Amino acid sequence: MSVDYEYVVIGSGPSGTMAAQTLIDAGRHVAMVDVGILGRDYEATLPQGSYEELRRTDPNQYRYLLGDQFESVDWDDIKVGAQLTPARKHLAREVERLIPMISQTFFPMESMAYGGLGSGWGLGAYVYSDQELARAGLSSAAMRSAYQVVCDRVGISAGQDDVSRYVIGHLANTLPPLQMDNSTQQLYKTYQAKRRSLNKRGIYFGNPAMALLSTPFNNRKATRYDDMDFYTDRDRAGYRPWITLNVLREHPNFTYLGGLLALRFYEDETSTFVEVLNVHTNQSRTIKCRVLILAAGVLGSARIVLRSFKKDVRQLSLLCNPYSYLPCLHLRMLGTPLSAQKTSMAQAFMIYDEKNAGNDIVSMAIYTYRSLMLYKIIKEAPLDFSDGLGIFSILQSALMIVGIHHPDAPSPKKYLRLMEKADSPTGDALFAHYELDGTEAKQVAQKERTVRSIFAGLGCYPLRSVRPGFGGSIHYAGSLPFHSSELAGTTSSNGRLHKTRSVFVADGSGFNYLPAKGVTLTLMANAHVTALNALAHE
Amino acid sequence: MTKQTLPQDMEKELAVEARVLGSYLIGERIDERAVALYVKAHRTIPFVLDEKDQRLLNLLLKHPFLLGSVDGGLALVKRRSHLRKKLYYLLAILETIPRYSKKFLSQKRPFWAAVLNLAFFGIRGVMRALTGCMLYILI
Ligand SMILES: Cc1cc2nc3c(=O)[nH]c(=O)nc-3n(C[C@H](O)[C@H](O)[C@H](O)COP(=O)(O)OP(=O)(O)OC[C@H]3O[C@@H](n4cnc5c(N)ncnc54)[C@H](O)[C@@H]3O)c2cc1C
Repeated sequence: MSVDYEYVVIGSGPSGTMAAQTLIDAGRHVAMVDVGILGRDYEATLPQGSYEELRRTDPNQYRYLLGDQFESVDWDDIKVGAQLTPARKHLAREVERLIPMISQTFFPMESMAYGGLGSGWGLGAYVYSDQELARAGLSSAAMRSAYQVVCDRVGISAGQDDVSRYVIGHLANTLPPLQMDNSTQQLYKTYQAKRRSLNKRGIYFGNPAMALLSTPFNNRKATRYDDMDFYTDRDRAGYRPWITLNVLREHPNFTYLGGLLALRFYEDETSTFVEVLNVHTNQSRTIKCRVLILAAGVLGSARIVLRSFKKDVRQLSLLCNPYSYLPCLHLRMLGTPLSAQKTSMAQAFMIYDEKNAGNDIVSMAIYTYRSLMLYKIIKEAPLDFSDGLGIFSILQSALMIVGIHHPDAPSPKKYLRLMEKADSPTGDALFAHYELDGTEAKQVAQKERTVRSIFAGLGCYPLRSVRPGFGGSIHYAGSLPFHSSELAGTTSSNGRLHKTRSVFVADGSGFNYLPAKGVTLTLMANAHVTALNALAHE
Repeated sequence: MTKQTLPQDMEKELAVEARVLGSYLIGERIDERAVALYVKAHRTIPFVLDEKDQRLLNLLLKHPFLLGSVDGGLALVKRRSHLRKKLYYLLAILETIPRYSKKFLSQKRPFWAAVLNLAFFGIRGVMRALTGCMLYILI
């Protein structure tokens, strides 16, 4: 029986593009269904030069720093996505209209952008240990080789230091580590002086593993350390899924179907049918394929599955790393400006492995603050703006922001459902509830106290913890957990959605556990494995 | 979306407002480019002052020396006041004017000078906030 496409992949994020590339490399015909919103092109307004140079010289800098419509100046309280610069603002566009979310307890960030959330991700690319993979339900043998495939596709810069075993594990061919700025180097020195006692307590400090090039790689340039990473992808030094996607689109076996929102799927004896909505015309149509790969992001795939199994599946589980950030004052830096040459991304990575057993570690990404501009933090202080400016222009170089991730495991208090919503184009909205149980909340609080004391001990004094609300880590998983029996709303270990013949799940929906590390490298590796499994299933 | 224009006298009033608020924020007469951007922001962004904020703004335009206190007071008692929103947008605009970049980018200075400056701004900020709160109650 003829089909429109052999394989259909839903979603152009890191998961979808990696799965598509693996299928194309295997010689298959692939169509990608995606909404694919593009950003306003600020590239043309952006002269060459580092952030500091441009700040001193460019009379038109307001255009790419604030936006032509001042779209980056956010007066509301801090919420997920508030940090998006004009070049990244499109990540949040159309989300409320096309994929509404209802919740009092969970505030995620989703995207309909070309390249998904990957068009703005922070590039922190960490492997899971074998222990973590096993808890997540992933095969460590398959994932080890998949990590290597992805590393060879995207390019990862990392060091050989105290955190390597946590961040790159067995990866080979990594690029040299990125340069730390002067404030972070100073902190590293303090760590080294106290290293033995800190290591005994399970505290390790080193270079982050980053999908940001320290040397040229695969026709992409190395970072210029110009501190413009939040404003431009000019040199493609940071890996974005659209880099792969633009290459795939040149391939004769690949078809990109943009402007389409996948609603639901169903199967007959031979084919799979995907109902899609054209987001511009509101017309729906059905696409017929042999194999369907869901990679719409954990929340996006959950919506599609809940609609498709309306009668059998009413509720799905949910995982998300609890997250907070801790602004700290690194007092030694008072009066010393930050290195002119730096990246805007995480400068260092820290692990708190309480029992030194690799179990339920807490991770900390360390950032210094400059290129997101001063006015944003001045707003948060209970002070008049003029004195706020005086204070923060001095504190700026001493400011360190520590992003703390905690692990997450399933519980009955974390779930997703579909609700009717007549005014949404799909007629529904996703409802989410997320709550930590007593023990989890205690652990998070206790580990945060330890993190505060670690930083104070390094001469980096914590101010108040900022909790952007559950969902703020932007790491999601676990909605269609791996399960050994053919249960609706779960996934088999090879990524096939139970109760389907040829529907595979290539994003993080299957993971049964979410370690406290950036999830995206693992998403990409898992997408590669799932695509291989789909090929093997033929 | 940008409204094409605002009534001309309104734009003039906004320009006057920008100059007063701007010189409070950075301690000098502000660049005309910043004034133009402030007016442009008003074509794009809603600023909805309630009656009390409007009264305060009128007072401040007549007596700009009160700006620090009123701003500090509002930061404590009415953080999301749209009067402060105006100041906030202007601050963001000023941060993008090359002439003022030194005021926003950190500068090399001796540690003790940094500490002294911090103490100065900190103490002045607290004083302003306290007087501002009293003013807010009285007005
Ligand atoms: C500011 C920021 C910083 C981050 N930093 C890091 C980091 O340092 N390290 C890290 O590991 N992770 C980070 N992340 C998270 C990372 O971006 C996500 O984990 C990753 O993008 C998820 O990939 P995905 O492909 O599974 O889903 P997504 O990126 O969400 O992509 C989903 C895709 O599916 C499409 N889609 C959804 N629903 C439908 C539908 N019904 N029909 C058609 N198309 C649909 C969307 O348009 C999108 O293209 C960060 C995210 C942000 C926003």
